[in-house]
Amino acid sequence: MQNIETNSEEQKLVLECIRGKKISCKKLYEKYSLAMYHTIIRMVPFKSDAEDVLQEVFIKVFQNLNAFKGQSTLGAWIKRITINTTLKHIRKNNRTDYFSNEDLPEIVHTKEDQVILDVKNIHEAIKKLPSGARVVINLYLLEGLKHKEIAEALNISESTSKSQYQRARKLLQTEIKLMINEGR
Amino acid sequence: MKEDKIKDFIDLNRSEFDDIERPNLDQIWSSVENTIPEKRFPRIWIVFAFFGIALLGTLIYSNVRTMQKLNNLENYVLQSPTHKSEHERLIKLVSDKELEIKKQSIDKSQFEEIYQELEELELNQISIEKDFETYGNSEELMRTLFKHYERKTKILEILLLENEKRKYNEDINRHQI
Repeated sequence: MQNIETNSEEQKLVLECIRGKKISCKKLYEKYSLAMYHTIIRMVPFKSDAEDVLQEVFIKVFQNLNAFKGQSTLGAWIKRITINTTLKHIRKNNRTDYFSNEDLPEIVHTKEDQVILDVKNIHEAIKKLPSGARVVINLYLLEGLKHKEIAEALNISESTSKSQYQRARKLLQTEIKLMINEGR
Repeated sequence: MKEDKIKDFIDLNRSEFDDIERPNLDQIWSSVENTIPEKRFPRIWIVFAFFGIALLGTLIYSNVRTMQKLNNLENYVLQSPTHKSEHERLIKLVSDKELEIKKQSIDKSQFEEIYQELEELELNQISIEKDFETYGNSEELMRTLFKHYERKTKILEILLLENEKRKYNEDINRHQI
């Protein structure tokens, strides 16, 4: 019942935005911009770049809102635009293949038990990863994409996505541990 | 299945990961706002609006013209007490005769010429009213209008007389038979 109400509210908001009602556009922006910013900043670690991408995302959202047919939730639709725009930005700005093995330095083996997990530490550690690892970790762990979907988004095979993730995860553990040690 | 502590931790605390940093959202909005497509009316509404305005314009114009026409006539009549009483007298005469004719059952086919003349008089009245619109008030036009009423009264009287004559003749014929 609540979902139906949310959907009809969302449809109303979308319709008003299509009609150019700026208050509704701002409401939509306020509802989704912060979450989308975090999706971007985890893949594009520089604040100014992430803000530029966020701006580009919402320009696309408002220009293409009449193409939103309600097959998914509005949030999922905006998230898809955010991920695609961010990946495009990374491809445009990184000369190297962002998910090549060169991106992933040799793994320093650590015992998982020794790593103390904390939201802020993980967030900062993700931002410090090489771009390829950062993208895979973010898409799999935080955006909830399956390896098959990641493979499609990055134009790689599913098995490559899985192996990249395993390597990226080890790197992340190392990075978190380093941050904790530096903090001490 | 291999344990993935980081994944489990993120799944548990997912919402917190979207509220760590605060970007300058207002500044970004001001750039986005300028690119939002302007509100556009569907074409059909533009067409409706156009016809609506045209219709309203025509109504206002026609109303103003009617008021002007009435004003021309009434103003002039009101300006002169003599004209006013004469105008009222003649209009009453015409309407009395018309009422009398209505009460009698008159066979129009028997008085085609008279009815034709009455139709011509109707056209004449329209022409006089148009002259009032074009030339405004004038003594001459007022006299023409009075003459027109007098003539109309006479013709209506003739119609009534002829109809009486006809009835009388019909009665005589019936008695003779």
